[in-house]
Amino acid sequence: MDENKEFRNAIHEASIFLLLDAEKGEGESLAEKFGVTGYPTYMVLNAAGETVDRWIGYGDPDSFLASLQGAVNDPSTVAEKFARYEASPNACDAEKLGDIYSAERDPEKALAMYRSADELDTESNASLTAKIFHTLAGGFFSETFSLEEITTGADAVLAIDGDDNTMNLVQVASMMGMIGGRAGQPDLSRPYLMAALEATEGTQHEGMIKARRELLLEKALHIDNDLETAVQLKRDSMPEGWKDSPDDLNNFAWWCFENKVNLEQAEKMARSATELAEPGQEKAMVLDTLAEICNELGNCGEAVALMQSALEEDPENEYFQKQLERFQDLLGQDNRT
Amino acid sequence: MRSNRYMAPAILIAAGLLILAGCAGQGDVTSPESFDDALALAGHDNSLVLVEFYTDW
Repeated sequence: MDENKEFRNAIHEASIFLLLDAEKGEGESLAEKFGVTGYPTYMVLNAAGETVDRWIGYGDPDSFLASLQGAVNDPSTVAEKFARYEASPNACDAEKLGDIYSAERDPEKALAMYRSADELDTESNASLTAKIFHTLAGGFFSETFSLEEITTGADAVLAIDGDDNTMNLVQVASMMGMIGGRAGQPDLSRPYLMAALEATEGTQHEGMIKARRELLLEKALHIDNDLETAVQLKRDSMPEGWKDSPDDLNNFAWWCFENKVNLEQAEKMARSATELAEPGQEKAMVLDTLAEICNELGNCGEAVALMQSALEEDPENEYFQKQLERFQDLLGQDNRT
Repeated sequence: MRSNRYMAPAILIAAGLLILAGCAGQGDVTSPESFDDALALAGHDNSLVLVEFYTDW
């Protein structure tokens, strides 16, 4: 049977489906009304327009349909779910409310609900522990939660036994790498990285193999400080034909710039990308990469010229205007010394 | 500058297209033309409305 048709039928049997562009027409005002900030956002509403459930991201078809079916089975509104939880606290309502608050980008309310679910649930729940970590980690970037709180959440995931925790370990290692980098503590991710690498050793799962490659790259870069290996792993991870793709060349070059490695090669890649890129926004984006690399290599004068070219390609871009001013300031400082 | 296109996992895009291309405006199903239309249909069928908010980024 056609799986897509089966999926479509399931959606139509369970609901009235409405697709809205959040930047056009009534989609724009409704996105604002419902506080939609991530895309795609899915909202399940009753006939009165009240929210029954919401989530961000597609996931896979099975989990998508499970979420929709969950709303059909329990069509109570968020307010009704909360009233039910307050009258009779239970782990199921608490976790669902945590999911909804999380999709509403309210990490404090989401965390309170997930923690309540964790207390009410007498059995160990790896998925809930992972949700608590993700809520804490998400709150790092908005400075809602401290590094200590996040580390405690990561340690809780690390403490879970069992093969079904492998994906959680991979996600924790990846997030802690990002957070450690942002906090100027690259070593922070070490225990999570090592645990995730151990858990994924010998994996045959395609997604896990890909994730493991990323973790090995992270380890080479931030734990072992083995830059040569890191660059080789990055090169190995590039898709076929990447040397002919301006997008891939740009992203490899940008990765080099971000990590301050392989900059001479990065400059060559970015120059190739500028030749291959389509005029307009794509070319401007690559010129910005090349400008950053030139500046990093001590050629601030060319960085200024490149940003002027980027603005010719994408004149309305405020970020590129700021970049031009930044490089002009740096050039002025260089000329004064 | 990092390219946003490169960052979007291919698997998510594929799943998204499945929904975007597959569920809106199917010939054999009554599709709502607006939000109010969707709510009215849900009231009539005693069902729920599933809204997908997307952008063209």
